[in-house]
Parts: sequence; C-alpha cells; structure tokens
Amino acid sequence: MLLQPVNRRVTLRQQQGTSQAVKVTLRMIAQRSAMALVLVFTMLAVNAETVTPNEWLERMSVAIKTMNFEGTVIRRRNGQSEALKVLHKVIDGVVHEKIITQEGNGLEIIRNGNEVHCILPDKKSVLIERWSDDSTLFSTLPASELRFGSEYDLSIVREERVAGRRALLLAIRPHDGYRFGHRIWLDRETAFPLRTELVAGDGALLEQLKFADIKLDVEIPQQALMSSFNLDDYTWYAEPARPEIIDAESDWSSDEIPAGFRLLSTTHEIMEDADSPVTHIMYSDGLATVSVFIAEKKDGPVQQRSTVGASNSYSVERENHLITAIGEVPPATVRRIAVSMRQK
Amino acid sequence: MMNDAIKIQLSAFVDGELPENESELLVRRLGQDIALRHQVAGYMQLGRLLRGERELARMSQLRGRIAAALGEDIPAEVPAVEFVPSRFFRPVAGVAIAASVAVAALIGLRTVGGNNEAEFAAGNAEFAAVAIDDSSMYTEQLSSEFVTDGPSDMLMKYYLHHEEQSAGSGANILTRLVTLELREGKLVKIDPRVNDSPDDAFAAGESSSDSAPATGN
Repeated sequence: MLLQPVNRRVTLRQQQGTSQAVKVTLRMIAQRSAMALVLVFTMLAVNAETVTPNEWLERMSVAIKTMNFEGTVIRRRNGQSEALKVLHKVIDGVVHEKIITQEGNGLEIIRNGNEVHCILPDKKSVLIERWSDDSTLFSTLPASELRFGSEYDLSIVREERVAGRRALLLAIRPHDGYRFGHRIWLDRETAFPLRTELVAGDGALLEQLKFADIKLDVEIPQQALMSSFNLDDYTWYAEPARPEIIDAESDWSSDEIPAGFRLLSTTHEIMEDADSPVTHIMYSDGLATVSVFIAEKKDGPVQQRSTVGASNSYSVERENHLITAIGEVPPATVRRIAVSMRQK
Repeated sequence: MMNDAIKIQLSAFVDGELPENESELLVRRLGQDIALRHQVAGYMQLGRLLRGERELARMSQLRGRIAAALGEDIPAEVPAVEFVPSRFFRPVAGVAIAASVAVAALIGLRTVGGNNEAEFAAGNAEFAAVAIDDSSMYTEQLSSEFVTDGPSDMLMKYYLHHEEQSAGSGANILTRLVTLELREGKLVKIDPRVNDSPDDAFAAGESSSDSAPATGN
C-alpha cells in the first residue's frame, strides 16, 4: 500500500516534473513562436517598406491584369459623384466585365475582351463598341514598364484606409506644369488600386475613382457577367467605320515639345467624311500622351480649344493646314505643342 | 531658379503632403524669395485655368444623347450640356486647402469667394502669365475663349481616335462614356441575329455606309 503512494508520489513527481518540463517547453515554444512571429512581422514590415515605388507599380500592373474583383466604384469629377457597380473577371487572360450605373435607368456595360455592349434598357437598345484597352477602369494608370525619368517624381507618401483595407498612397508628381500628377492608393496586401486621382499642378482634383467597397479575388459566376435584361426585342447598333491607318513619315515636327515628350508614332489616317488623309503624330512622356492631327484647312470657323474630361485640345492654322493637339494634359501643353508644329 | 527638389516640395506642399516641419521651412522661404513666390503663383494660376473647364455631361446624360442619336426626343429631364462656373476653392483635403490659402495669403493672390471664372477674369488682367519652367514664360489667355462649346464633329473624331490609339496609357471607361455621348447621330443599325459573330457585326457596321443610318429610325 505504501509503495503505491510512493510510487504514486514518484509518479506524481515525475508527472509534475514532466508537466513542468512540458510547461517550460511550451513556454519556450510560445516565446520562440512569438519571437518568430515578431520576426516575421518585422520582416514583412521591412519588406513592405523596402519595396520601391516602382516595384509597387509593377505589382499593381500584375494585380490589375490578373485579379477578379467585385465592388462599387465612386467616380468624382467637377464636384459631382456617381456610383458604378463593377464585376470583373479574367479568364485565360481575357477580361470579362459588367458595369451597372447605380443612378438613372440602369445603363449596363458588358465587356467580353475587346467587345463591349452598352445596354440602354429604357430605350431597348444595345450599342456595340470595340475597345482596345486591356484594362477598363485603370488604363490611365502607368504600366509597369514605365520608367520615370526626370519628368516625374514617384514616392510613397503614407498609409491610409480605403474601402476598409490598408492602402499605401503613391504620389506621381510632375516636375513642371506640362503634365498632370497622379495619386494612387494601393492595397497593401495585393497592390490593387483602390483609389486613383488625377491632380492638377496646384493639387486641384481633376478626376477620382474610389472603391467604396470591394471584394478581391472572389469567384464570379459567368451568369453574373451577363446582362440583367432580356435583349430579344432590343435594337442593336454598331459604331461607325473606323479610320484606316497607315504607318507613314511626316515632314511636320516641333522643336519646342515640352521636356520629356518623345515621338511615339506617325501615321496617315483616312477618316470618315474626310477628303484627304489626316496626319496623326503621337508624343508621350511615358505617362501622358498627346496626339497631333494635321489636316488640310477647310473653310469655316476653327474651334480653338475644347475640353473633354481631363483631356484638352488646341487648334491652330498653319501653312494652309489645321493643326490640333489633344491629350490628357494641361491646356498649356496642347497649346505649346500645336503652335510649335512646323513643316520642314 | 527653381530646381527639381523645390518643385517637388512645392507640389507636395500644395497637395498637402509635405511634412509639417518642411512646410514651415518652405513657407518661411516663400516669404523671402520673390522668384519662388512667382513660381507658386504660376502653379496656382494654372490650376484656376484648369478649373475653368466646362462642366461635362454626367453619365446619366449619355442615355439622352444616345436617344437623340437614335432619332428620339431627348427626355425633358435630361438637361443639355451646360457650362457650370468653376470654383476657386474646391474642398480636396483640409491640409491642401490650408496650404493653398497659406500660399495665397503669402503671395497676395486674390482669395475671391466668387464662383465664376469670369469674375476672376474681370478682376484681373486679360492675360495671365503662367510660369511653366525656368527657361520660359508661357502666356495663357484667361478669357471666356478658354471655356468653349463642346467639341465639333471633327474634334470629337480626334478625341476618340486619340483615346483608341493611346490605349494602355490613354482612355479609361470614364472618358469612353463621355466620348460615347459625343457620338450623336453616328450610330449604324445592325441586326445581330443575322450577323451573329462580333466580327460580322463590326463588318456590317463598317460596310454599311450605304445602309440606313440609325437616326432614320
């Protein structure tokens, strides 16, 4: 009987010893785990902070091209806002997208690759367009291959929350007044752009896209990407013929193009209702693009300037030609380019 | 002379993104550097010119415009494109406003509470010098001419074409919607039940110059 308690005591002691050893081991494991976690978090934090702005842009470019998402985008321009519901899915590299206006009578835009259907339910009409953009919402954002030269400064400004997610604010600031700046809030986890802004030289907001809510990498059923309406009795329309484009050389050029803008292409284009080809010269600074159209001057008034969205145009008569510069740049830029074009 | 570092600093300051300590230093420098103040004035002036742009039709107007293209009456509730006067101070961010006001106060810019570009133009010289860079002064006309009517047909084609050609660094959906809206009377009716494939549909559109335009209804 005594043995039992002794043995029991021994056993208990052994058990206590074992238990203590286990506790110590567990404590050590816990401490080491905590240390490991701290180390991991520290490394993550260091990694997040050591990723360069250009690397963030590259990550963003990949995220835009590959991620599925569903959310509500708020578009703000000229002090007015409107909401769009967006579903976006990439299948074998092809974009499938559905955009529904949340105001008015429910205009729907269905995109399957390059083909876009604009559905007007109240008019029972569908307009078919062909868009060449890879990305619908974010095609104005810089591509990953963009290398910022002396024309822009790219920096990470701070961390904020957008659509309930942690986001890093990237600022792309031009060095002069010939181009606009960009602010991009990237999801810290995926580098997806949660909010983008186009800003003028004095910081004035020209255009903003912001997700009010978003689900990233969600499964979107194919059915959800189809029109919500029965289109059987709808009338279908296509856009008019597109101009024929021929690569060409031109004897028009400018010696006063703003710094950083380089010649991208020169083509001759035969446009609808045009008697003669129009010369189309494109310049880009890697982010902003300006087109110069040179056509034979016709009788009638010339519209010197116009604005569509953040794009501006400026037209000038020169040597019996009408020269029009257009681009998503400040008015001063298109004007300088247009007035400086000369025929060799 | 203003170097790139100062330009970036100014830009960040106006954006409300410059740290407070750097802002103080910059404000102090602005108080002493006349040339720099002129450069800031240029930035501010450019912003005003930009804000003088005409109001764009909202997406809800797209329906009305396309309805017009389809030969139907534009619904009464859809207003025609109208000019909405610009505003000098748009609430972008508290800090940005504070920064702008601080600069405006320093350089003596007119902090008008008015909401019309014309008011500003009337109270200032007809031409405003906009300093773009160190090497040149650029003169931008500040007058009602800057705010023009909507693009002409030819300009509309140019806008569309520019956007298509600069895809990748060009048009986004928002611009597309605006330009779609501009495509009045230029739609080509097709029958997808006859031309099932998208290519056929586009081919129909491209070769249908002889066919009845959509506006014929």
